Amino acid sequence: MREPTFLVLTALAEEPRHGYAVIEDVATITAGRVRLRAGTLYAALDRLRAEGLIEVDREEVVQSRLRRYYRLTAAGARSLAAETARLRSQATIAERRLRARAEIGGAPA
Amino acid sequence: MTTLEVRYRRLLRIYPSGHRAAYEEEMVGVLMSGAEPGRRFPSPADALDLLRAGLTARLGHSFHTQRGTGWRAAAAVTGLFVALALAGGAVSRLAAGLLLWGRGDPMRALGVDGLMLADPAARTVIWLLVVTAAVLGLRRATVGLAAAGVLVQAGAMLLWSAIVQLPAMFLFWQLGLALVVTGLFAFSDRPVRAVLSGRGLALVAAGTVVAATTEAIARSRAQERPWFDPGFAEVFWDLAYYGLPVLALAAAAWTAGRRVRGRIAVLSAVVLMIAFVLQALDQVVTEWRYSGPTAGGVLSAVVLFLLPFAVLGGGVLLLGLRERLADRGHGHVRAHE
Repeated sequence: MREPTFLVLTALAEEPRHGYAVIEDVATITAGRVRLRAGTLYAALDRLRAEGLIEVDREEVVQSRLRRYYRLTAAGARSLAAETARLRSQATIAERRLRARAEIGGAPA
Repeated sequence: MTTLEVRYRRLLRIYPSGHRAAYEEEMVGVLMSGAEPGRRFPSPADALDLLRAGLTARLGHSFHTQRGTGWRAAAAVTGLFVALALAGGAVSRLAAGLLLWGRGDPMRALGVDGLMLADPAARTVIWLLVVTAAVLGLRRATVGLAAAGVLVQAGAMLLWSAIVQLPAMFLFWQLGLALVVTGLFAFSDRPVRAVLSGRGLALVAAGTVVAATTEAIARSRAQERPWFDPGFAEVFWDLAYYGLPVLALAAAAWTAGRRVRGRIAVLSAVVLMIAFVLQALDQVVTEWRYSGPTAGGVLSAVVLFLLPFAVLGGGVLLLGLRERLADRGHGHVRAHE
């Protein structure tokens, strides 16, 4: 799973959000490191909808603009959980190796 | 509508119509929400992102979303058809050689008895192995054997070049088709039997049996005088020889489903065009050898080179139009699903 996809699913795991709210939330949870652009966001949303990982929650019109809210499906939650476990496992391995490296005084550069 | 919104909408035209119908209003909303007040032009980063994503959506609409159920599946079936044709040609040549050999011709070449049979025998073995591996669903073995088929075809060209003491360009088109078969099997993502139904494979077998039978009858009748009109007989045998096996293969392709069979037709047309072009190139090269390159010759070579691409482009365009019309007929837009 690519990072934008993971971040979009993470944003929707909390509550249904519309496109701009997803962009804002992703910027928040990554401390501003990732700011999704509209093209990237809607490519991810379209693919995730086609794969059944998200679905439309509701639509609103605010100041003559369409806002479509998306929510995570059960399959999307499972997929996010699996990806989270995978990342956690890899991070654990990396952490353990770094700790071991530090304990033996570090490898020569 | 502000100037900025008009410009964003213009940029969004890069997306396919189905995508725009589903997301344009939403995307404009997002883009306008993210734009600084007073901005009149889209930011370069936004513009590039939309262009990239729009082009990807367009290409994806044609290729990505159909991957595995479209072109790659069609490549497996087309690869089998071409391998069958190469095997059939080799069997036919071997049968003719064996008949001559049985009548006392030593089939001698380069001072070695029977050497002229080595080429069709090797081609028969390798292409029958390719067909068998493809039908059994051994994808990697099929690709490996087809690559070996390329080497066998190249070896056959070398052998005949040594025998006739000229480049054996008359076998060039078969070498080209061997490369095409290898490419098709390498590109495919599933075995043939996962694409064609059991009935489809039975039809392929039936086509092969018909071709073998007509070939055997044609060989045996070569010494007989037909009792009916020879002109009519030729038409009949041409139809039986090419028409019936092709019909059986077309019927087999039909069982692959609407999307895949259209792609099989396009790929088969491209392969036929490649075979024609390679044979025509043989003539162009032969002319060059005797009269040197001419402007007309170079132009012919360029046009010939472009023909398979034109057939592929035309085929893809026609398929796209047909599928778009069918989707409209069913009120179906993928992005809305």
